[in-house]
Amino acid sequence: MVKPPFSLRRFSSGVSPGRMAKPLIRAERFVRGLCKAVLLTGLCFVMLYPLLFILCSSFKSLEDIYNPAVVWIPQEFSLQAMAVAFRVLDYPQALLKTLVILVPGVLLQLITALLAGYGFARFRFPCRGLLFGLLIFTIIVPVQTYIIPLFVNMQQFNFFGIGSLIGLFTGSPLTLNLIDTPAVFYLLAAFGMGIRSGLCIFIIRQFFRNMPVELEEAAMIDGCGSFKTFLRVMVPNTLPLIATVLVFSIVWYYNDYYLSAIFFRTEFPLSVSLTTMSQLLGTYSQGLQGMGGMTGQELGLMKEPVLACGCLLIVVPLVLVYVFLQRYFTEGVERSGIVG
Amino acid sequence: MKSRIRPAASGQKAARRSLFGSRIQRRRAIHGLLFILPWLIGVIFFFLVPMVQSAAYAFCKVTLTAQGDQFRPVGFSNFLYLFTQDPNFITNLSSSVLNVLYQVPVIVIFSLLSAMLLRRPFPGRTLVRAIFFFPVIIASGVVITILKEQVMMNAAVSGEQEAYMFAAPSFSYFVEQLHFPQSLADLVERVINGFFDILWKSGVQIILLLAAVNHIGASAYEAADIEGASAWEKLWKITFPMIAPTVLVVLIYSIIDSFTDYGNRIMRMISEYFSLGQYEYSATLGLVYFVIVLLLVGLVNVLAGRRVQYAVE
Repeated sequence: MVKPPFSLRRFSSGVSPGRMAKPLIRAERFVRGLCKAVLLTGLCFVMLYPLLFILCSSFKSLEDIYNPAVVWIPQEFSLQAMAVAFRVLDYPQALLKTLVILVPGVLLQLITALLAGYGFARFRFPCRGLLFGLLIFTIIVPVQTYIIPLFVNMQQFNFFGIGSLIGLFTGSPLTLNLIDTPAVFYLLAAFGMGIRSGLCIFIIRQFFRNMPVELEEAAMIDGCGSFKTFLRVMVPNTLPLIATVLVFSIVWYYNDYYLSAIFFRTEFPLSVSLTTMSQLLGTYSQGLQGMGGMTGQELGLMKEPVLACGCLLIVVPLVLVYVFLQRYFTEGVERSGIVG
Repeated sequence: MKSRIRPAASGQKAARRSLFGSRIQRRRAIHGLLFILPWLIGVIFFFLVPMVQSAAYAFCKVTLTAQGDQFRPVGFSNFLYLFTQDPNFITNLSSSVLNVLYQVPVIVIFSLLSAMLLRRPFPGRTLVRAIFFFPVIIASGVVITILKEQVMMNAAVSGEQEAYMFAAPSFSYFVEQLHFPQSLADLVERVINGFFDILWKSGVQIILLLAAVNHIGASAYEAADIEGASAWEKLWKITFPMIAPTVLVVLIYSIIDSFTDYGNRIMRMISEYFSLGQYEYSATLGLVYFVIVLLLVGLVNVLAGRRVQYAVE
């Protein structure tokens, strides 16, 4: 345990609780509790406000929009907007696309991050400081600064130079166009450069550093190799950490729009579809035939509820994941000690 | 894995020893490198190489042809254009730096406050904690930006600079009535209006600080109680110094987060130029922006880092 690095005696105010009368203490405690409750309720409202807003405006019907008396809760619930949003987003297909990217991406990223985090936490090797600096660098530098060469490299992916090497002998270098395939995401994730992989590695390293060394030492003495120690001893002890990193990664992959917008050309995952939704709605509302039983003009008026529905449709799967993993997540985060 | 050291000339041996140390240490070193190998490959091929290429793009005129990309070196003209002629760059840059300057302190203070509030058990704590972490799952995505700019439409009036979830125009009117200068009133309005957005951005920060606060040992507080320290003194003399390293992490995370946000206008410029096909200009913009962000982060790290003391190394 850490010693307090200073003396506290000088600062003691000398008011001990024993001197106060008992009802006074009780009153003070009550007032404090009340203040805290009010503050927390207010803050919780702020945190939930956008969700409440989405929920309220999603189910408004066309009549409710004309009706000035309807501000929050719609008078008649309707699924009109939902139907349109469902079609504009191309929801099942986009969700599938998201999952195709997300599930393998997150798992590959987790494996690489666990390995690298453990490597940085427990091994001394030459240039460790330098490499760790590089890791911090990858966290700080946004992908936007080097996306163009990355895009070109992925368009003519040469298997880390092996393809070009083959090209020296056969005449034409062996390259593969990975654009528009989820393989781009798998590759980046498997080699620790996925969406915020650096941050995951950093979190995992901090966690491993705080774990007692005795477990590993015992395993080593019993003749367990480094990799086996990692797999059999360390990983089973880090389940809360894994839950934490998993939730973070799922959220980051699910919400990513930038990489998906760049690496895909035809079918887009949900987050990208949402960014183009407003534009699409504009086009549809100018068209004559309309959509989902509404004319183009009505569609233009319904823009706000439809967009809200789009947001809702996107948020719902994440909220479900969050509700299921929340307990592990919050406990895992709090226990993992992600401290500088 | 071969771990034996071959008998070698003494000079060579000494060099090897200084690099790796003893035999076990050497084996550990190799194992460590193996553990980080996938990441290392990724960092070289998907980070360092593209970074260097991107820097090279900024000095070229890129034309994409059917035969492949053609590069014509043009020296510093992209940079010159960026700083002297681009109509949007300077205004957008100053606005995003200004945003960061007022947002980050509010984020850090608010997340500290929340961590303090959520620290002790109280009835319903689990629920409140879940709600406080809830923004984490949305705020990093496009949903929040779409919500603010297209659904809630507080900024639907054209010419309005920022979009807010809540707006409080009366407050800045109040400041104006008190005969404070207009610029101050604008700043106040910006802070007040952006306040709730800022609360929404502090999910990750609250988590980090809560973890740090929970890691302070009870013994320090017990000692302080025995000495009769007040809650205020305990906060400043125990809690704050103990979580100072995390506060630094939170500070830097917040800065980077708001600089690389989807709503950030420089980020949008970069993607817009990219989608327009002006790759070299997009690369120049990205490079300059990143160097500025890195300088700012480094400055904060140096300034704040001096005040941080690490209890355990």
